[in-house]
Amino acid sequence: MVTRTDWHGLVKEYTCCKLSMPSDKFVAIGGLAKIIHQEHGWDYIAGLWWNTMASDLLWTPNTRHHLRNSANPLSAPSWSWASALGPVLFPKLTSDRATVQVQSVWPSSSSLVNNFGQLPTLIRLRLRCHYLLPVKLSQMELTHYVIEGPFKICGTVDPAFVHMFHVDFDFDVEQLRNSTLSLLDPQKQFYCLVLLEPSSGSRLDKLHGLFLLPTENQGEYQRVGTFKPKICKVYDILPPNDRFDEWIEAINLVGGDSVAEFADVVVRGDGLKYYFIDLVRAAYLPIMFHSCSSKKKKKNQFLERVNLALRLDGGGMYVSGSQKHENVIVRGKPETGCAG
Amino acid sequence: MVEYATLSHRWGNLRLHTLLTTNLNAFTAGIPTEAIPPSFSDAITVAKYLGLGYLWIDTLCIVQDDPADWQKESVLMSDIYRNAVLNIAATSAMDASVGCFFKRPISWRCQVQSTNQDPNKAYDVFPADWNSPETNYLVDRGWILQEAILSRRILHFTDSQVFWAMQRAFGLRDSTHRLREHGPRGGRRPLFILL
Repeated sequence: MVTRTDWHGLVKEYTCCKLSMPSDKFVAIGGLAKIIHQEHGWDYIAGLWWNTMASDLLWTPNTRHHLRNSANPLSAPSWSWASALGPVLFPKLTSDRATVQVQSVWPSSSSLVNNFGQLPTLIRLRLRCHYLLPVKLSQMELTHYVIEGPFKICGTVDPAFVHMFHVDFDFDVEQLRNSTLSLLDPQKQFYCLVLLEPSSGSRLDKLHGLFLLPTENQGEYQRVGTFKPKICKVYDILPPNDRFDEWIEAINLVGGDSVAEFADVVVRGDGLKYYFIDLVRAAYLPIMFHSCSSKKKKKNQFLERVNLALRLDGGGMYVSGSQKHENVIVRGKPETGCAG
Repeated sequence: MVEYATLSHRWGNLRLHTLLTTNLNAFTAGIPTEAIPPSFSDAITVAKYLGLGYLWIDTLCIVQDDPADWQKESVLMSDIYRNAVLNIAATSAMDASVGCFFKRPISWRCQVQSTNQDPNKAYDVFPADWNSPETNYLVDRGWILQEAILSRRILHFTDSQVFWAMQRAFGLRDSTHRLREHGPRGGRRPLFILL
């Protein structure tokens, strides 16, 4: 029996190898996939398996040296590990539950599903999702808690507590920082798509998912990276009832009033709603890059880590929290005036 | 069922005379010697020596300038390697001009018997550098992963020795690791038959 972990191991090993023809990326491992398909009956789409899509989507580039850059055009859909330039890794997962399901692939499922040969780079993957969280980048002062990597997500539901997540970008963010069209604009809206849900009762630190950038089309997103929990000191001050389900409820777009973020919302006969988003190729990224800076300079930039954080918009949770705070102060003034 | 061998080799920068739509008929009648670089002719020698009448080589068995043939054959490659009796690996050849056979000191075998153990038991003795890794040009090639996993048996021709590797039990967790460690500790034995 081949398991999800076996496939991840094969992909890890395969992506360490070199190919003279980048277009062979799917073909040179297609034979193994075909045999797994024949022996297990699993459905295969662009290097990933239909039934384990949630964990298969969680690949990350192994090292900074293999991050995507402008010099290398994509040779596969950007949500597939095959689009990575070098070795990829998969997180070690235990008994997490998948929170996405593949609904369809576009342009045609008959030519894409269980195709073990060469594939087009434009493949749209429609996912039914359970948790889609709006986030923004913002400058944050918590340098003290940064353990590794230049970026983290900071989700603040209750302003008293801070949840931190680490973002692994698929491309060289240092390059982006030098470009004029910065992705790191604090006003830019990003989304976190939760792929795996911790088993009930476990804490937030089990959350894994994709870091997405919306395109101009409704419900359409490009993968720009992954996010994973950051174990940090902040957790020490979290209350014991900091449960995933309570926290996620407050900021999840699925089930809310807004449907603008979704490609489709289907209401079933029993009133239950299904929310769908589309993952498309990150065509937008390469044009944003400037030419690469010198290696030495790059290294320095890396050392001087940016303390950017992502703020969970939380359906206005954070904003309303601060506004409330301001209101108290504002209201306080006239009172003082009256007393005087 | 036809018994045949396959070849794992590195293309490198060598311009090979490959099978093309323009020479398909000619190659079907007979492959010219220019299209048989040393790695290929050595593989033919090995296959013939082992009594195999057929050898499959990608450059000569897939029409290289026909996208349709490539689409069809590239997907069949897994079956081709899986059903082969033997995969001959030109492991130390940077490209097909190098070949499978390398000059090295005359082969010898030294066995010792222990005086205080079973007199019927003999032990092979190898020089200390036997464990030194050989040049391996295949190890980081993307195509090799499935060729190595799917082949039933692989005969590696390297600059320091010839060794064989059995099929990794595909599907077991173990199978996904250690490709890189096809070293002498990886459960293989030197073969002397061809030396």
